[in-house]
Amino acid sequence: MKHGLILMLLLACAPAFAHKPSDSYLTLNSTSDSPQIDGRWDIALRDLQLVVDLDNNNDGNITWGELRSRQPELAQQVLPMLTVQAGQGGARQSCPLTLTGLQANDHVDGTYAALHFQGDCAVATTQRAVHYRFLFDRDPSHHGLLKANHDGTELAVTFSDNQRRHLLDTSRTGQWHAFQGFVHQGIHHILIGYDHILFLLTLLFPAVLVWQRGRWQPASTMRGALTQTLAIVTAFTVTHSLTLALATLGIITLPAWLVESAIAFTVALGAAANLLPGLFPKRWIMAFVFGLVHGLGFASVLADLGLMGDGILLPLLGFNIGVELGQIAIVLLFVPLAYLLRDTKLYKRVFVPVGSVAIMVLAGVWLVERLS
Amino acid sequence: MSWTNPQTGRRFPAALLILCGGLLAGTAQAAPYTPDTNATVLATLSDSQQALTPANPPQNEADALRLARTQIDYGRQQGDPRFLGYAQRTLAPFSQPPSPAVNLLWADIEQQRHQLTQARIRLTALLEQHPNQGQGWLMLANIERVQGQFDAAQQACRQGANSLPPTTVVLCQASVQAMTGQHQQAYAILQSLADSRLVSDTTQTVWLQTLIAEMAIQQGEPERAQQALDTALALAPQDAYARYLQSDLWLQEGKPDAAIEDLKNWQDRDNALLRLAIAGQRSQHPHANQWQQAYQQRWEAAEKAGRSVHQRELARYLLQVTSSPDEALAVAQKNWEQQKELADLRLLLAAATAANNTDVRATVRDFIDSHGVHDAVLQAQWSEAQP
Repeated sequence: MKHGLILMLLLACAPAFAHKPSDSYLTLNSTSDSPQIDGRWDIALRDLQLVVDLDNNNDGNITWGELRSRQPELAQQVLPMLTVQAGQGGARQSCPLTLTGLQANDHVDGTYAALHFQGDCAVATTQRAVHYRFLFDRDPSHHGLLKANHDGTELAVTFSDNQRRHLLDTSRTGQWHAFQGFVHQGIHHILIGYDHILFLLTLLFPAVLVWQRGRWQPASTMRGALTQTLAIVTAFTVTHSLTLALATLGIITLPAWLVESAIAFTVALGAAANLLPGLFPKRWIMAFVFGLVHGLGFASVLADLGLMGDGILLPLLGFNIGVELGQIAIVLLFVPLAYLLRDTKLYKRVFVPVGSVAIMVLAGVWLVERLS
Repeated sequence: MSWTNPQTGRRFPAALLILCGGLLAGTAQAAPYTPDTNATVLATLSDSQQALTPANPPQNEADALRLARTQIDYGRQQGDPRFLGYAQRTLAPFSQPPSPAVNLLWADIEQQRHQLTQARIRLTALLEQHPNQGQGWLMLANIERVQGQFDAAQQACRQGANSLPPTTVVLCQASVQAMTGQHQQAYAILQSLADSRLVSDTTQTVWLQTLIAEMAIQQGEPERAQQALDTALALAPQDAYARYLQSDLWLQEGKPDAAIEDLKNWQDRDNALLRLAIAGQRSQHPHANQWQQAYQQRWEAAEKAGRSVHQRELARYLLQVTSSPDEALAVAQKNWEQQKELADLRLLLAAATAANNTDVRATVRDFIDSHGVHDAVLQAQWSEAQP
């Protein structure tokens, strides 16, 4: 009785596999520096059964052992239903595909066979012609859904009985334009993102100074000033790039109000550190730790552009490069000027303390606004 | 709260978005795996699947017609669209050009795929040349009725009279009249037809009793509806249309558990899954979430594959399960452009009321008034919404 109940519960918990039309899922990966392509093809066992008899012992079940034993048929009868050619026009080279592995994969409507394959195209190219012929002679309503990934650029196409061929073009000019767009977005964002600029500047205020015997002294050499600046900028870059990537890839997610408030807090704290330099001797550590927070702020911009998930790597890289370019521009403008002025009373007695207090107050106001 | 995708301009409810996110993590990233042992069972083949997908297609038209008919009916019964594809393949060798019988099956496939315009064009052309194809008139009447062309639908019923049994013509007419000012007469005719024993064939009886059940619900007589459904389901316990009507009646009467009990073994069918998701949520069933997620994944997969999603069901899901009235209304309006059955009208009104849209409510009012639609469910919805 008890066992019966448990069995019933287990059965009730079994995943509900809804019927759906027949679709196979294909991925095709390539890079511009290699003629090799690889990919995976997920085919519903129900569909595969129409082409290759998988049920060796006719017991109505397809086991993993039975599927595995059919690997030669999959290689000879199924994989050839997919052909890939590289290049354009008459100069097309075929890319013979070979089955390199077999696994199982669960989809919405049941278990699929996952065919891993590789191909050698002889030439590395951004243009590929794909011809898909699987199952149409058994189920004309079958679709093949292909996701091609070339150097991080994704293209999605669907094969059907009436559309068995697709030309995939991930040419560099197209990619390059898109990439440049993201670099611009990155530059734009750091230049209009006053809280990031302010944070960077507060950290850089004293980069041309040295705190000695309770007062600011001008850095004696250009080298010292540059080393400090470089340490701060590098630390900030490393950590904000890290969290930018993690947040964009969806590995970390924090609510926007929290990130925005935390950014305001870092600006206030950075300014406070300028007023109490004895308490915060190593500025680059501060840049390193707070960079983590600012990266999350940058990520929200990419998310606002609707960029999340697959195919994000190139935009992410472009955006990050843009942010760094903008940051370098700010540093190049500010640091030489500060270096020239470092020995003046105006800079040491007025600019650094008054500026820092002003920034602290401003950041405090933001913090209150963003928390409310 | 909702969010607009800047690229598509489509709006998603925030709750849906979070839900999608959670699901995407679970499904889109599905990773292949190597099963532990050779004995691991990956799939179970149904006998029908085996029997209905012969390796060699029939070589003569009579066999092909038989097989395709079985495939289409089985697919309808199971809610499994793959069988429509198999039927397409069975018919392909006999389709250039198709005989009237083959053409009718093509129209049936199109109709089941909700390609109503295509099906209508096919049927009109066919019936022009072969006006004695009663089945064709019946299908055309059904399409006209579903699309709200009630005069054309009645006309089609009449034109089928030469080649259809009189009782079939009566059923055809009554199904259309249910949506017009003649509903009372139609209801009375159907009741007397049921008492008369003129209808003896099982398929016709199930159709008759299902129609009576639908019209009884329209009249606000749930007991009578239940009685008719009992008769229909006793004759055809696996009839999908009647089973869904039964669950909807239970849901309307606040008996979600009965619907769950009845449909829980039908989880592989979209329409059952939708009702399980609704009933599960209402009765706070432990599997409510699982059903909801399964349904959600199902239509997401369809959208991703670029296949049409059945708007009526999606609108109902958005309204009754995820409680997203604005999104539900948008889908219900799109659905209304395609389909004008009573269920579509009820859904449109419910979504408009939930989303507080007076314009759409006025559209519904106009439709009701101009066609003389009488429906207890609509009336209840209408008066509930009035302050």
